[in-house]
Amino acid sequence: MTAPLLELRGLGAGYGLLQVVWDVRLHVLPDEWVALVGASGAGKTTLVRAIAGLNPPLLGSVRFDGEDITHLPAHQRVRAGLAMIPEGRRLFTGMTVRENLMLGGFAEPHAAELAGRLADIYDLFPVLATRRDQIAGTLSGGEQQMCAIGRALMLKPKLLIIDELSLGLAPAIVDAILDALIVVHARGTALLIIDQDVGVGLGQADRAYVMRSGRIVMQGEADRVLRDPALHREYIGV
Amino acid sequence: MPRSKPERRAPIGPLAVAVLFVMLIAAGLVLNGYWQRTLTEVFLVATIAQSINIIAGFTGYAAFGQVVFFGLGNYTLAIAMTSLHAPFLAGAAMGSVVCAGFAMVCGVPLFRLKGHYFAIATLGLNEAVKAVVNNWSSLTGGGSGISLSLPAGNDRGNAQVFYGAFLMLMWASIAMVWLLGRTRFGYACRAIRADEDAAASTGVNPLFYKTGAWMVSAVLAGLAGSLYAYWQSYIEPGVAFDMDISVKGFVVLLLGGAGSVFGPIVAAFVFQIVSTVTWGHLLTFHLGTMGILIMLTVLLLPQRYTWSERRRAVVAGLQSARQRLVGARP
Amino acid sequence: MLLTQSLVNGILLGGLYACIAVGFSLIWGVMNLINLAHGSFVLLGAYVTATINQTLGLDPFLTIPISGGVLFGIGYVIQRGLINLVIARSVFSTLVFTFGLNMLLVNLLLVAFTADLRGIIVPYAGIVWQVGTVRIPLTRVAVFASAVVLTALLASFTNRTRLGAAIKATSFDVDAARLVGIDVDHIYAVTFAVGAAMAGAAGSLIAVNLVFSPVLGDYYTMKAFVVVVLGGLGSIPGALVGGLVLGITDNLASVVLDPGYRDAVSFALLLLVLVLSPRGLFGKPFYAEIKA
Repeated sequence: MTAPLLELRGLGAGYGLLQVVWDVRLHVLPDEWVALVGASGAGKTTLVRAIAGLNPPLLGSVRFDGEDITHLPAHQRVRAGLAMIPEGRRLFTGMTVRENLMLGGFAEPHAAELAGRLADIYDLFPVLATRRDQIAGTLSGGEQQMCAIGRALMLKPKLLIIDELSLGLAPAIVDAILDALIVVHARGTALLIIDQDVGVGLGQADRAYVMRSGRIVMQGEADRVLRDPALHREYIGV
Repeated sequence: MPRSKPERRAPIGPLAVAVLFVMLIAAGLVLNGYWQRTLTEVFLVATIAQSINIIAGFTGYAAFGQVVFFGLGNYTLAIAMTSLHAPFLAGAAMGSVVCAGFAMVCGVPLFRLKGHYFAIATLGLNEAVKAVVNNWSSLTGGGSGISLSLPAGNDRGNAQVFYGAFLMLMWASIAMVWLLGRTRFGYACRAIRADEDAAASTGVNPLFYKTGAWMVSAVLAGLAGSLYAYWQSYIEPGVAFDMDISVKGFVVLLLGGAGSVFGPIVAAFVFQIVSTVTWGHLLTFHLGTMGILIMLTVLLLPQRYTWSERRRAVVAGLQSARQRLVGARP
Repeated sequence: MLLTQSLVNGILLGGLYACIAVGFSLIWGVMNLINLAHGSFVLLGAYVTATINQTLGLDPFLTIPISGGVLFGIGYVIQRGLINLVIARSVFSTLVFTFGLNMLLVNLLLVAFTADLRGIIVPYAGIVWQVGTVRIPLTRVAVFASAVVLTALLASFTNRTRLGAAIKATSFDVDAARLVGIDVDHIYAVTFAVGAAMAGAAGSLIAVNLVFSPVLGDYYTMKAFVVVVLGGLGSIPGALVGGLVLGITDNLASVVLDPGYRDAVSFALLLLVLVLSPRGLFGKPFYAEIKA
C-alpha cells in the first residue's frame, strides 16, 4: 500500500472559535483521482481552505508527502507541491492572462523553465494562448477556470485541488475542462476535485467522499458511491 | 452571518437608568466647577458618540467627517445670536434645521459612495465647509471666530444650567438610539448595513433611510454644537470643525459598546479623565498619549459594535470548543 | 501674464503633489488602507533632509535616497508590527487607528524638532530663469524633475519587477496570492514601506522649496487624497495627471479668488469628482469596485 500523498487525520476546521467541519479522515494516493461531493453548505469549502492553509485547522492534522503541514503557512504549501484553485476561480482580475499564468510560477522564478511550462499550458488550453494579453477579468467563466488551472499547473504540483470546478459553467465547457484534467492526471498529477455536481465529481474519479453537515458520511470507490441509493438520500435529504 | 432578528439590548433595567439619571443630576448640584465642567464635556462626547452610532452603527456608513454638523450648529447659533439677535432656543432650532437640511442635500450625492469613498467624502465635506467658514469673514468672522455675549446670571448658576442642558441632550441622544433600535426605521437601517442590495430588493428604499438616519444624527450633533457655542461664548473654525471630535466620538462608541447605555458614558468619562490628566501633567506628550489610547482601543476591541454581540460570539465559540473537548456531536 | 505664471507654477507644484500622492495611492490601492499618517511620513522625510543638510552640509537632493531608506525601514516596521493587526477591520476603525498613529508621530516630531517652521536655503536658490514675463526658479524645476523621476521609478518597480508583480497580484486577490506562493504579510509590509519611502522622498523635495513644521502634515495628507481621487486609485499616471490638475487649480484659485479659498476649492474638487466619477480620470477597472 503506497503512502498517501495527502492525508487528513481527524481534521476539524471552522471560523474563529466556531467549528464547522468535524473529524474528517481523508486521503489521496499519489496517482489517484479523488472526488469530494456534497450539497452546498456541507462544509466542503471550509475543509479545502483548511487543507490549503487559508484557515488554520482547529483540530487534527494534515500530512502531505510525508510531512506534517498542519501549521505551514499557505504560501509555503505550493512549494511543497500542493496547488489549490479556490471556489470562484480567483484570478488576478486586473492583470492579463499571461501575467496570471506567470504568477503561477512565482514561488520558483527560474525563467527558462517557466517559459517552457507556459508553452505546455498553452498546448493544454489553446484558448489561453489566443487571449494571452487580455485582461483576466474580461474572460468568460470557462476561460477563467482554464486560466486558473493553468496558473496552478505552472509549478507542476504533485496534487491539484479544485474547489467547485463546475460552478456557473456550461456542461460543454465542463467537459472540455475535464478532458484537460484527464491529460494532467495522466502526466502524473494527483487530483482532488470538489463539486456539488455528482456527475462532474464522480465521473472520472477513482474514489469518492461524500460530505454532509461538516462530516464525511460516505466513502468508497467512485462507481460504487455513484450507484449507491444512499447518495440520493444525502443530497435530497429524504 | 446574517442576523435574523433585531438587536436585543443588554438587559439594563429602567431602574438602573433612572438611578443613574438621578445621580447625575445630583452630581450637577454638588460638584465643584472643575468636575462639573469635566462631566459636562463627558455628556458632550457621549452625545457625539450616539450621533455617530446612528449613522455608522445603524446604517454602516462611516461618516468620518460627522463633526461638520457640530460645526454648523456652532456657527448657526453664533450668527443667529450675534447678527440676528435671536434668543438661544431660536438659534438652536435654526441650527437643527441647517444641519438637517445639509444632511439631506449632501446625502443625495454622497450616499452613492461606499466604504472608504464615503468616509473621505465626508472628511472632504468637513474640510470644505471649514475652509469656507474660515474665509467668509463677513458672515463668520473668518479665522478670528465669533464672540457671543455671556448669558445673564451668575457663573455658578450658568454652569449648572449648561451641565443640565448637556445632560438632557445626552439622554435625548440615548433615547433616540434606543427608540431607533425598536422601530421599523432602525430595522431597515440595520438591514442596509448587513446587505444593502438585499435590503433594496425587499422594498426598502436605501436612500430614504440612509438620509433620514443622517439627518437625525446631524440634528443631534448640531444641537450639541449650538449648546457648545453658547457655553464657550466663543467659537472659531479650527475648534468647531475639529476632526478630533469625530474621532473621539467613534473611539468612545467603540470602547463603550454601541448597544449599551452606560458604556459610552463610562468610556467618555475615562477618555476625558485621561485627556485632562495628560494635559495637566504630561503636556508635551498629551497628543501622543491620546493617540496611543486611540490605537489601543481600536486594537484591543473586536470589530463588533455592541458588547452583547461580543458576548454572544464568545459564548458561541466556547460552546463549540466545549463540544470539541467532550467529543459530542453538534 | 499673471495667468501664465500661475500655470507654470501650477505645473511645477503639480509634480510635487504627484510625488506626495503616489505612495498614498499605492498603499490605498493595494491594502485598502487610507493612511492618515501619510503627511507625517512626508514631514519625517523633510526633517531627515534638514538634519543631514545641517550637520553634513549635504545637498537636499542627494539626501533623497537616505530619507527614502529611513522611511522604508520605519514604514516596514510600523506596518508589520502595528498596522497589520488592524488591517482587516472596518473602515472607521482603520481610519481612526491611523489618525491615532498620526497623533503619536506628530507629537514625536514636535518633541524632537519643536513647532518652529523650518526650511533649507540652498546656495543656488537665487537662480531664476526668465522666459518672457514668466519667472522659473531653478529649485522648482529641479523639484519637478526629481518628482517625475521618482514617480517613474515607482512605476517601473511595480510593472517590471517580480516584487512589483506580487504587489499587484495581492491587490487583486489576497487568497489567490497566497495560493501562488506570495507571502502576503511581507508584501503588505513592503507595500507600506515603499509608500512611506515615496512620502519621505517627497518630503526631501518639500524641504528644498517650502517651510515645514510638524503640524502641517495633515495638509499634505489632504493633498494626497484629492490627487488620488482625481487621478484614480491604482494608477501612477493618474497620480501624475491628478497632481498636475490640482497644482494648476490651486494656483489659479489663488490668483482668481481670495487666496484663503484655495483649500476650499481643492475640497470642492474632491467632492465633485467623488460625486460625478468616483473612479477618477484613470482609475482602473477592478480597482475601484473592489476597493470601496
